[in-house]
Amino acid sequence: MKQAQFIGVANKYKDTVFRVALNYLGNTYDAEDMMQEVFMKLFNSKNEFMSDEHIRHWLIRVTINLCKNSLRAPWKRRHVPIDELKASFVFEHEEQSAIFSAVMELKEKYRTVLYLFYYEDLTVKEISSMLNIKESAVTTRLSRAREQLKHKLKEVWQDEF
Amino acid sequence: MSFKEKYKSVFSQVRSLKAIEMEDFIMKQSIRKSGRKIVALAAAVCLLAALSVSALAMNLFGLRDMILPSGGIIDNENTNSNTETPASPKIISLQGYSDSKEYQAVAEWMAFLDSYDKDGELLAKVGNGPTGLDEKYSLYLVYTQEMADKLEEIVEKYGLKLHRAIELDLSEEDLYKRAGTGKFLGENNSSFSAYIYEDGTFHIDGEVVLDENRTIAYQMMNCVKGSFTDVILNIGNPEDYNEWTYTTSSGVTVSLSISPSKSLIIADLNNSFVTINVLAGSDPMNGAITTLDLEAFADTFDFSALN
Repeated sequence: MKQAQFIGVANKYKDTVFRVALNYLGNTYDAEDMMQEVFMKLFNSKNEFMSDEHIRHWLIRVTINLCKNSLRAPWKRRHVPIDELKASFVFEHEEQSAIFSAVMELKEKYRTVLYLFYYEDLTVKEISSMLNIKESAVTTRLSRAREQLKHKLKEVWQDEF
Repeated sequence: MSFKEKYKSVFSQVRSLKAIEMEDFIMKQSIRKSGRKIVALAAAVCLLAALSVSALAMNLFGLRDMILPSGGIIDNENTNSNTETPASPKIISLQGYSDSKEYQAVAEWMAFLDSYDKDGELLAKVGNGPTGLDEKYSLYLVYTQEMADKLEEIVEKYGLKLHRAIELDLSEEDLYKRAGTGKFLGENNSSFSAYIYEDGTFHIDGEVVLDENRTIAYQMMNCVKGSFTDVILNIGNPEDYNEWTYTTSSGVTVSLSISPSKSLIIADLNNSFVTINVLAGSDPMNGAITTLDLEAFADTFDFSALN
């Protein structure tokens, strides 16, 4: 990828990559490192990208694959208490902070699916392909994640999902 | 508002604070290119047999004597695959040579971590929720009681202390005060970020203006002896390093080594073990640092102030 094009793409999608990594890895330190690693892949990539959507999907897929691999190294596994994690971000409303905590306290497998489905607007089929799991597993994870969030956020949340 | 809308409003506020700098990627790319020239690493036994040429007066095995036994397990995701047989990147202890209790403790801890919760299942269960262990072990990778017990067992076995507190983002002046060292960074050497543990173990990110054309960044780790610090460093292929000893202008003898992609300065002092990871190597794409350059670099540190 040409350097001028690279910086534009990286700045446009750095938060996307960061959020996917944060949901997968559960802490900002490793998510920041992962972001650099993913964009290094893009920098060195010889891929021809057809569109912005193509780049976005490619970046999400690469992030997930690198996150999977990184957890195999023990020093890449890190536990960060939720209060410390929450302190890394500033939320406009207390309710948003509560939602963030509730989501980040979920297991990784639920967090990632939720993020890809609700934030990145990926379909169940696309998520299934990216995570290399069955479509039924995606819908099960989504359903369980919703149940757990409903339980955790019952005072905040009374609307339908 | 639907769940989806609420979810989006929350995560739209989750952003990375890290800037994307083109220079970082160009630098890393050039390091990788030099890494591709690495030829196959012989078995450790063969390495030991070939050491007579580069054996160091102060420490017979130099860098090789700092390699952790679990060094081969580092993930190879960062090393590009190519047609040559890839060398195993090695990781070194930053706590001391292999005969030190600090090295042995970190080797044992790394071996434990390597075998524990390999699929991350336990960590996934814990998530970011409270473990009841966070207050005591927040500076280590501990998320189960079993890990806490193992860590306690190791520090007790080797008579070491665990870190309990850390101060981040210290200025150079504050670092000198907290470390109780006085000024040890010389002219043309400055720190732009530092943290310190309660016992004086500290880390610096800094840079040295080597000459008018070259400013070279470095990371320095000063591990106080008697404490358990679990910081490690990937040095790539040890065979790529040319090693020698040098007595700095501060009168302290240090071990220097240069590889195509990075250089190292190591000082085994009375109270601490110092590793300086110089982010430049002999490759023209990586700063073209020479032996004289690295010696001049080492002279910008007053190691006697740390001794």
